[in-house]
Amino acid sequence: MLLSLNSDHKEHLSLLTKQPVEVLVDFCKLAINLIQSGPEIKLYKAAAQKLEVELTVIQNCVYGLVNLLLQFCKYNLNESDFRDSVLTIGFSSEQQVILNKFYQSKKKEIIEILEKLEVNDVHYNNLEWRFEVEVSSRSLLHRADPIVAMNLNLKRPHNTDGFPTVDSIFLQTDPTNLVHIAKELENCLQQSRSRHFRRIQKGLCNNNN
Amino acid sequence: MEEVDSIIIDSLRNIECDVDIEIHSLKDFDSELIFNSFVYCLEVINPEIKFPHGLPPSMSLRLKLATNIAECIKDLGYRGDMGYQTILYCDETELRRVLMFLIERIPRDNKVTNKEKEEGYVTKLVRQIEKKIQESLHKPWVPSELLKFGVDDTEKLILRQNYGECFSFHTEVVKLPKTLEQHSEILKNYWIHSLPNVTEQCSFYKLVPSLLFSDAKFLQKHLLMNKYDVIKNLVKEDTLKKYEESSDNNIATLRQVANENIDEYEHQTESKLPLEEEMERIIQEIKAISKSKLVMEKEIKTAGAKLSQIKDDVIQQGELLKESQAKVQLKKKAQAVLSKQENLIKLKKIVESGSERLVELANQWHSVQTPLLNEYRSLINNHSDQELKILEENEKLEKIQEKNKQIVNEIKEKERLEQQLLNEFERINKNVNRSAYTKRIIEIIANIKKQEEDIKKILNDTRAVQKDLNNLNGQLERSFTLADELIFRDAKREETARKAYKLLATLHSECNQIVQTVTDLGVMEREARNLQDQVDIELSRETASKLERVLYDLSEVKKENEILAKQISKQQIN
Amino acid sequence: MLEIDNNLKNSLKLANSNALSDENFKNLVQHCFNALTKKSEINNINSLYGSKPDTVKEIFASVMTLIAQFGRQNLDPLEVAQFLKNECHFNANRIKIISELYEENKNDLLVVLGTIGSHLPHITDVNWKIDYKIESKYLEEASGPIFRISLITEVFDEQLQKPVQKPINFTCTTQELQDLVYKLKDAVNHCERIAKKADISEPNAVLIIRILVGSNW
Repeated sequence: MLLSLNSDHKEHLSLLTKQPVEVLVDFCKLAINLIQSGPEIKLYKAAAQKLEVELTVIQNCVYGLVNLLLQFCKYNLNESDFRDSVLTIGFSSEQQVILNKFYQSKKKEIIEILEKLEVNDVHYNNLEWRFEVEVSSRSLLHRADPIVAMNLNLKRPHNTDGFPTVDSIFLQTDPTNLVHIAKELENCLQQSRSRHFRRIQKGLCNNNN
Repeated sequence: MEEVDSIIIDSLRNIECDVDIEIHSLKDFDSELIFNSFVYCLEVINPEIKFPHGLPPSMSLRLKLATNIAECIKDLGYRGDMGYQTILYCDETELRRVLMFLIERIPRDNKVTNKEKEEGYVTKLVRQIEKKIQESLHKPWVPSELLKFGVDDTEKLILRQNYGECFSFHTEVVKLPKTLEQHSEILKNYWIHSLPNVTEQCSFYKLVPSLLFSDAKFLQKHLLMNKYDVIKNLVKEDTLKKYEESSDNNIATLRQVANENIDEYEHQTESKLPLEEEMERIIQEIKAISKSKLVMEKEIKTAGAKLSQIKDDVIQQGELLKESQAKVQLKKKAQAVLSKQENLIKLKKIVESGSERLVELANQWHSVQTPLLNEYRSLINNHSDQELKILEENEKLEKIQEKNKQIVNEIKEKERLEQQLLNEFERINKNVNRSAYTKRIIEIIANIKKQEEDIKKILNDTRAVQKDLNNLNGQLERSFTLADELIFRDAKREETARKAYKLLATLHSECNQIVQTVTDLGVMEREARNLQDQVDIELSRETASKLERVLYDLSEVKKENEILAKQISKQQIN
Repeated sequence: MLEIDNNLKNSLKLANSNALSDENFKNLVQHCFNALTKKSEINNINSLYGSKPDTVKEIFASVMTLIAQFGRQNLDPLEVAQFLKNECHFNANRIKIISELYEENKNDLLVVLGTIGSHLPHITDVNWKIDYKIESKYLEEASGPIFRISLITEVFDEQLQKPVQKPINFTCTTQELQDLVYKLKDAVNHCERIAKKADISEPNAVLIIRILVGSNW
């Protein structure tokens, strides 16, 4: 699959295609910097003076590079697709090698970040349990009711402030239901590994590609 | 044998085999009882074995059951003769042997079960918990909608599978009639006609707590009093001062704000139109007029009140006037009567006689009063005496009641003691039995020892005799060889000696033969005795009669079979 | 041993009196059990009132309280009969009526009494479905199944005065679900281990400690 960019994006990147490999390496460093700690105008200014261009050109160029990376990651391009795409944009093959290194080193990290940006689902985080027996209560002095008390921790990837939070939910159940629930969930897990399910998974992947 | 029998019967009763009280020995056992005792013993030994209690009427069924039982007993390791006939037609000795064998094998688990019953609270609880978990782990899952109060009510054991319907503990004050106590009619009427039933006074979820713990509830009144106490305490404390200070500050600030507001307001009103001033003036006038109107109304009211008072006064005065007029008239009449002399004298006389009569009456009264008074005093004395007595009696009664209580308590205590002692007695009884048995056993052992000694003595004797015999035999042998040699030496020379030698040889062989026959005879005698014993045993087993019985059973079974066959053929025909 | 206060004892005297015939008394006791165990919706004892509604109301309440006490102490029918005889001096007929009905209804009564008390939301069922993410705004590539789990819990709503179902929804990746299943099975195994102890008796103290200690908290 070949990645095609819109004209603005191409224009922003056109500066880089004309630069030597060392400059491209520097820009890659700038892009990493941007991802990790946000823009640093000072560095951009220095680069602008060095290359004798406007500050905005440098800025656009760095942003364009990061966006290119994101696009690659989004479609999870393999090496040959990556090479073809990069070459069509106008980079030389030496530059392509640099960019590929850059892409491969950051790919995993970026995909993880992108996954977190997905729909904000509450995820299972941890379960703690304790076995209890209720042996007496005010209205029934002699009893023996086994209970399994549970602390279910659910993780919200990002709350309104953007930070992940963990909620504790206290629940309980009895042995009969416990067996039932464990069996059901195990069954669920088994289903996901069944041949039927794998076939569906394969089919979906193929359609996608 | 009696002791053995009583032990057997006791054990049979212990395992709930119904042995009649009048039966004391195995002789009295009838076939039904024998059968039952075997069955009960087997059931106790192995709980999985199940036989009907009581002999069935049909012979073939009887045979079948008896054979099964015999097999069971054999399986337990019984070595004696055992077949269906032993069970159906047991003689006393055989029965004793079999029952003793069975009773020895009855497990002694009765004590164990007792121990389990005496387990502590914790052990019981733990067992219950284990059982519940075990059950609930194996119980099939059921959707909670099918449960009632979170419990599957088709199960015997309560296994809670849903606590969703567990409501928290809330009580409500429920009003209940107390008809046995004295109460006003109104309250009773309320109870009869208006008070709703308890179940309608609170929701189902509050019913049980409200009923169970109504006595644990503070009454509203007490609660209120508590609150007042708290407030009183607060007043005494410094906190109030602090509170006042803070509130003073608050008030000051409030005032300040209010003043400011007023100033502002006044400032605004200054710039108002004259019309408004006019209006204000009119309003004020109206106010003044209404004020004066109020005053006047008040005056009217007071005047009215005065008027009515005056009217009352007038009426009262009129009544007074009438009374005084009546008095005046009466006095006038008296004056008219008194003005005549005769009348005056007459009146005087009447007065005198009246006073005389008064004196007389007084005397009479006195004479009557004194004895009555005396009597009254004595009665009062009597009464107080009686009261004292009653008090004393009361005290006595109380003492007696107390004593009674004490005695009742003592009786209870004693009864308890009695029960305890009875229990102990029962236990001791058993021990006594046991000691008797052990004594008996020891005696038997002693007897056996004595017999053993006797046997040893006899053995020694026989050994001594054997030795003597051997000695004699040796002597005989030696003297024979000596004689043989001497005579043989002479025999070469003398004819008589040769004859004597021959005679000696024949004598020797003859004697040997005699000895041989004697020993053979002894052996034969022993054998004969053994055989006789065996014959006796066989005779005692009454094999012949048993065989007869078996033959009879066989014919019985055959008959039954024939009847059954006939029935079958009949049914087939039908 | 069970003790009851004097107020109740006094009221119970009425229950032993001739205020109600034996038949009506039996009827009333049956009503008591029905009201306590919520067996039938309509618990109308008005028909038993006769000329003394107040007395019948009092008997009804007192017998109901007494029965609840029996259940609370988990007495067996024999103990109930004994208590009625020794403490309340009921006559044989009434004792028979109460203890027989008690035997019949004891289990239901214990269930209701055991229901009183607050608890955490109770899991009664679980729903699950497996989703498969094909595409999203940020990522084009499918990354494996997503498990949507919904634990169905039930809890008593004090406002509505009835139990309500409340689902607890969350999502799991395969690893997370694996972890959850592992922990639940651990709990099940623990229960099974305790249950097995029912067959092999062990020193009790050890067992209790194990029961209390058995958790992954």
